[in-house]
Amino acid sequence: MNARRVVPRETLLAFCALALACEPSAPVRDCTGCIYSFADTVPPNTRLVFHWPAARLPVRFYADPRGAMPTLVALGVASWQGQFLYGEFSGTVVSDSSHADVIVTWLSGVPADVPPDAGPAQDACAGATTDPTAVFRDSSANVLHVALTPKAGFTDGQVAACLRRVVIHELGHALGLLRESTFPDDMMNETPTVTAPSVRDRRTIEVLYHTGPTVAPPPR
Amino acid sequence: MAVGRSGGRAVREGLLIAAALAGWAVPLDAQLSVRISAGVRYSSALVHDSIVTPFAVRPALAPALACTVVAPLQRGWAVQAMLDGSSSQLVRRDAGGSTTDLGRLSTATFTVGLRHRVRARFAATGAVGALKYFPSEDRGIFRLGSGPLAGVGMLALDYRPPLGANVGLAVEARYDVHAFTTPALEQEGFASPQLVHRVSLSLRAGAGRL
Repeated sequence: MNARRVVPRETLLAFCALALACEPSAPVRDCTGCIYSFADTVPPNTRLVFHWPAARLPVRFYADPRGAMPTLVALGVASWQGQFLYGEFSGTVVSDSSHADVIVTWLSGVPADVPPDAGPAQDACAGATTDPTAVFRDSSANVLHVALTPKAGFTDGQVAACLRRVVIHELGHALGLLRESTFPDDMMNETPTVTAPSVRDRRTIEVLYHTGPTVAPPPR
Repeated sequence: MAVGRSGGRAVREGLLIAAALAGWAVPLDAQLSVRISAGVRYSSALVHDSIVTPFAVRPALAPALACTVVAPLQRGWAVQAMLDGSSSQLVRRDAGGSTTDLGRLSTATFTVGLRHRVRARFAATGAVGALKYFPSEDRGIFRLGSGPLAGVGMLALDYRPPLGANVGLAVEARYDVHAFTTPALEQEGFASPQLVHRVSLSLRAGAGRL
């Protein structure tokens, strides 16, 4: 056998065969029930879809400096940012509220900054977020507001654990998940009991950020 | 991000490095030589995915630098070891043509192979080795790290023009292929790795006839 001629040719053929046999493939996802509705509707048929556009990234979050709020907001931003594979969303915490896109404050008293209770989830706090579609479509405002508040009758640890869940839930609304999930194991359930976004939350926000919005924030 | 502008910069960087290295040849002894090459590299998509609409993620055109140690054998054959690196922006390109910058991504590749003089001024190389990705941030598809070393196969063809023979100047075209995946992609449901093809064109300087 003439190795000088045959080896390069065989090697080349092997590479070509390998390249042709292995076409890139998209992942196979069983998406039956894998997302929940993220859009709002204004009767009779106006569909409201909101997400932060690429030109407005990173979204700037301001955290009330009192208590555990800076830690909570950083947790919420990181939780959602970690759901994206392809750079669809990024957020940053800023120290000046006049340069923020989302302002997160305490609605009432500032709860004690203690470690979260490890017991069963308690409905020990509440949160509210201004509707992005209302703010950016129906008013001249350009900032979203999120408010968190502890409820009475619970231990400091139970309130701390609840706030960790609710801040992620409320920032989900600020990112454009306008509706609540009906699934109890989703972060966007009306009363979240999980500590991180679920696979269904991730799928839903992925689809949202690849869907054309009908409501957009004003240019920065 | 404008991929074209980044690609142009990669070409300029590659040519500048190549020009700086053109006169550098380090004969270690009569049997061993070191070659340095610099050029540009194109890479096919690392990921094809579809969320509402299809899109692909791939590195932009990258400056590539390589160092090769060659030891001649008999009858026009030589054995070589090569360390190769390149770095560029990772870009998501959507079906509509829009692009999103996903941060800087670098690669390092080590290969060992055989080199053979096929004609008077041409030599061909076949090599195998390992490749590692180094993202600038642990985010997105690299949020759980870049995964283990990937096996890589490489083919190269180089031409040594009469001009610059005193410094062993050569033009080299390289093709390599490897399978790409990350722990985050596997968690997302990518059942099999994506085959990634890379092509680079380099100027090389170094001692030795092979």
